Amino acid sequence: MKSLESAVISELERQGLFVEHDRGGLQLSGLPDGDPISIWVDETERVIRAESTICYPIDDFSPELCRAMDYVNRTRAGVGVSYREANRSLVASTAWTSPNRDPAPNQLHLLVGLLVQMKERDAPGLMRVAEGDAGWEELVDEGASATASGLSSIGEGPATKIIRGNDATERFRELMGIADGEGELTSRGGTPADERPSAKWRRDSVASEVAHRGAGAGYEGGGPAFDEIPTRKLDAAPPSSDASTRRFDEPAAGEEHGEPKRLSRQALQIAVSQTENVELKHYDYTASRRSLGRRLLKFFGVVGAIGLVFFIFASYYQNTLTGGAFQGLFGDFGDWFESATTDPAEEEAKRRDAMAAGLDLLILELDDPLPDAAAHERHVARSLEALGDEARAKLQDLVARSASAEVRRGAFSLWRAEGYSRRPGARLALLERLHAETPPAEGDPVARGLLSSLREQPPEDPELIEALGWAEGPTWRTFVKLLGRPGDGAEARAEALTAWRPKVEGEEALLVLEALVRTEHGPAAGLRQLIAARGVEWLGGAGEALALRALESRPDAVAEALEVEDDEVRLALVELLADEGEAAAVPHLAEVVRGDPSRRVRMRTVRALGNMRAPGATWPLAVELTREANAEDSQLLDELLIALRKIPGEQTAAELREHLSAETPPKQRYFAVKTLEQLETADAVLVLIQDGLDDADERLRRAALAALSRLQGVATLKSTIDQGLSEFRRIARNDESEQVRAMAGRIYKRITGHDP
Amino acid sequence: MPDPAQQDVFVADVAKHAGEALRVYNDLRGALRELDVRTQEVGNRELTTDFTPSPSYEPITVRFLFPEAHGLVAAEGLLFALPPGEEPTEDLRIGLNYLNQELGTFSFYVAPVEGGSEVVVRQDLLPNLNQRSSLHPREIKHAMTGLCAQKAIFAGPLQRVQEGHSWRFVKEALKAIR
Repeated sequence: MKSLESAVISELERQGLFVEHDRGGLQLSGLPDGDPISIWVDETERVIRAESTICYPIDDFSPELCRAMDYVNRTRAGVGVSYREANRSLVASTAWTSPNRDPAPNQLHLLVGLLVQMKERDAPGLMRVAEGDAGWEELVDEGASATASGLSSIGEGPATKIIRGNDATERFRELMGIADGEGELTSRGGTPADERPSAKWRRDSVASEVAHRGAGAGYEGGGPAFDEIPTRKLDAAPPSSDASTRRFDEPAAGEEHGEPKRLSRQALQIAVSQTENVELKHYDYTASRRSLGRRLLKFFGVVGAIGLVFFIFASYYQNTLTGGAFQGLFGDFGDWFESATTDPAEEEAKRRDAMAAGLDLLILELDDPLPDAAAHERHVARSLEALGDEARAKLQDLVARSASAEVRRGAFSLWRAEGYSRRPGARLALLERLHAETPPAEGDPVARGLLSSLREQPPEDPELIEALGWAEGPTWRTFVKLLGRPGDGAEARAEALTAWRPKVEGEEALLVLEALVRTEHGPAAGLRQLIAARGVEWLGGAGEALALRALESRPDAVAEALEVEDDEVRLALVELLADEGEAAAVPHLAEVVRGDPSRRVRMRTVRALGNMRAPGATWPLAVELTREANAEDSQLLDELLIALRKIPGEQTAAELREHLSAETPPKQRYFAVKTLEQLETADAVLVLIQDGLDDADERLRRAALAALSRLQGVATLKSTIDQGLSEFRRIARNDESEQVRAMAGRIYKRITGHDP
Repeated sequence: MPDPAQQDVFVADVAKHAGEALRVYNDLRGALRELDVRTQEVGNRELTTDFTPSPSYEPITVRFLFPEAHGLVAAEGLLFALPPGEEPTEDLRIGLNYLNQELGTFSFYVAPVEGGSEVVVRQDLLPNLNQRSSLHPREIKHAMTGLCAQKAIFAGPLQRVQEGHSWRFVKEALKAIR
């Protein structure tokens, strides 16, 4: 029951009215006149409307009636009247509304009282106007008199009923020509039996007999003549002059017109109940379609269903009921219907569901998880929740102490999943505990997992250095490797690792040494020692990066490494360095070429240098090429020359030109000239012409001219030598040395055919 | 349901429950003052004002009057005036009756005035005798806003009906807003 409606009901009942719910609204009864009032309450809009029928029946919404209603609407406060064609009645309505206040008792009283007042005061006049018995001006007179008499309380007089059409005035009957004793004429207007036209139309014909009424108040020039106003129905359909004005059901021919019957609610209810009480005769419509075949089919269907049920029943309980009497008969089929034994997995699931959440359940789930992943996760989650703040410690205990590998592994996974591993120092602490409890075996998954995590995200160096103290085996080795890296803090790491060198031996010592070398703060001989200890295979594998790294950061270590005793190792290192093609390796390789005790190594180094095609290798190679010690080693000389020629000629010539400068010692200049001669390239020839012929030392000029004289016999260089014609002539004419002049003159003459 | 034997019979007493006109008139003036609505007194305890709730609404001339000798206030809003000498058509009356039938809280009718007729819409204000002020400013503003809204919706269609269109023009206007 809504708040506003309940307030209305309670107040109206308090005022002596009976309130009933009726079709979405309220119906009031208990009024003196007996006619009910309908009330609607709109909780949303905060509107209360009350309505009551004051005149019935009215078939004609005539202009006069309109004016009368206008007058009433205009002069009556708090109430309005409208014509309801569907109900053939005039309806008075009142309304209350307020956006912010609830209805007061006086307001609710007014809603009802105004309707009662209108019924008594205005309804008779309106009915007369509707019947054509009076004009609307009479309402003015009646209203004035009513007001003048100071009527204030309504309802103390005779009961007021809805004005009905049967109370037609005598004058109206005369107008209609209705004699006494004839059929009652109702406002339905005439009887089809006598084909009398409707009262409406008859009214029109006698309208002219009605005196023209005077002007009504406010209507200038008086109102229109009564007979000029066509009566209109709201449906605008021109009625037939022979037909009744009523659109509703006409009485049957010969039926007397009695008082129009209204179907009361009680009568309706009685009619409905009578209908419900009528027993309908049952008629079987399917009887004609039923045949013998259908009935037989139905019979066998029922028998079959019953038999199947019996069969299943017997198979299932054969041993219990019959003692195996039907064993043979149902033997094979009995297996199909084995007694429903409980699935062990289901039993276990139920048992765990019943277990209290805690460590025991957790261990059980880790050791033997349920097949249902969702149930497993649920038990684990509620166990962890039950452990609360102790969960971390309990998981670590399981990881460290549990005898079951599955439990340890599961606990470790949980420990990581819960984020406990992300706490600073947590991983090292757990690893230390593992070592303290029972050193993990090789390949222990938990230790492996921890170490893998440490490798991915290494802890701080001080923690690692400290952890070296308790770590063993793979753990210790992992920590050593983690410490072996260059960059920030490398000195401290190198220092810690150096401190460990005397404590270890064998492979561990090499591990420490390797880590030390990786820090790039290890001893110069560290790389050599590693290479020497691990051999060529190491250099070709894990040691390769280390050696190359050292080439950039620790050249002294490379030089040191190249002094390893093993030729093969030196050779491997040489090839490693040469394969990288780095310019930084040339000096080392050159040193090898110059001083390596092994000829094979030197040869390979020469070849390597040639393959590098590094201009920086030019001079070392040149030096070796001209060294007297190598003069007898033609193979070496050839290798040197080949190597030199692999270097782009322009770059070689430029390198050698550098060594022809005046600041260079004469011996080096001599080596350069000889090397240029050996190269037998156009660039070398040009350097000899441009720089060699101007050397301050006569011997070097003679060496250059000797080289050019020999190269003049090389067909590919002839044209290049011819480019020095002017130089040759100049030297042949101006050189201070007669021998030099002669040599230059001979070269000139070979070119030109005559003396300079 | 209350026992009929225990209940008094309902006796309608409008004058008693409508309050005194003077008191309600004073409350009305006070409420209009609170709303900062300027009114003009035209005699016989009638107040007129032009009101619009917002610039998007055409103002409406509202007249507060006491039709009867008690505290029931009628707020009349002028929809439009008929040209002098012109009578309301049949369809206009049917249209006005249709609106009276459909809109329970408003009354539409033709009011005679000097020189012609006016089509007005009215909402009645029932005074609340239980409160200190029989009329609350919000209730008055609510009523005036309602009148303005009715004018915005129906003044045009009713004028067209008066000009010769069918009264169903009004029915369509009502259907459009529902």
